[in-house]
Amino acid sequence: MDSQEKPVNAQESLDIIHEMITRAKGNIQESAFYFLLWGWIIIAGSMGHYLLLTYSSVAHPELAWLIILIGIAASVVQGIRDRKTQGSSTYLTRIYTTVWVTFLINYFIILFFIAKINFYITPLVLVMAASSTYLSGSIIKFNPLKWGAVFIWLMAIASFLVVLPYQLLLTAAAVLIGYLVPGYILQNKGG
Amino acid sequence: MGFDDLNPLLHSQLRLAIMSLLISVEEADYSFVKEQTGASSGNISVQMSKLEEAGYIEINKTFKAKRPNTSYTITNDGIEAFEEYVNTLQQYLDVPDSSKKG
Repeated sequence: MDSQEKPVNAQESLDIIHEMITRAKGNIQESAFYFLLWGWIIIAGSMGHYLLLTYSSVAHPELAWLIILIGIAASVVQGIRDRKTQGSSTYLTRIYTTVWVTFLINYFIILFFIAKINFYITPLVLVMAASSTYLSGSIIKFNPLKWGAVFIWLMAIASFLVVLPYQLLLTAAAVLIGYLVPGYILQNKGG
Repeated sequence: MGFDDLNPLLHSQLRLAIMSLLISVEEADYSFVKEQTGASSGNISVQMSKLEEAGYIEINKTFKAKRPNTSYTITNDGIEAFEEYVNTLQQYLDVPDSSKKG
């Protein structure tokens, strides 16, 4: 019998199974890149919008959100890079990606019809963001993210009760505490 | 001894390692399997063919970033065989001294 046919005993078998499953679990921490990127992009967008709206006479302060395009470009580049180097795809990654692609589809539909809902978009996006964040936390079994989602839900409720400039501040707070804090914890967890 | 026989196709170091990897992921590239198992290319190809013949895995040859790429997925038969193997393994492990035997 050659080496690859080497028989193993029950305990060795169990060790092999355990080791391989652990190795294949992959790096959930890689998801942290997207969390941190999008956290900062949304904070920059909402703070940019808030500052332009409050302290300038710019005709379209909402153009601060164009920074999202940078986020999309960076995500696509990183996504392609990940795909080339990963060598395996897990069910978890696919479900996780689906959650956020679904969020983006919802977001763009609402954005397209923003005039129909009287530009009242922020609380809706926060509700959706909270739900996607909660699902993400649940999928990767990471409680700080679930708590982050609860915080975003609270900010969403609060933003229904205030006017636009404050909604933007609540968005920044929601993202900072609901996304970025769990994102950094997730990143550091990987060491 | 009253124990079921362990599936000989899975009761081998590399094939068991491969099956354990594939049961954990949706799809794995050849390079990923090589890296994680630390086995040689020839070894992997031989064992993959055996697993494919048994209907436990599917071998997909595609292109990735313009380069030929071989990836593997576990089939439903493979999942069943793996589960059966683990259940049988459990019988051996339940007996205190059995783990010391080959």
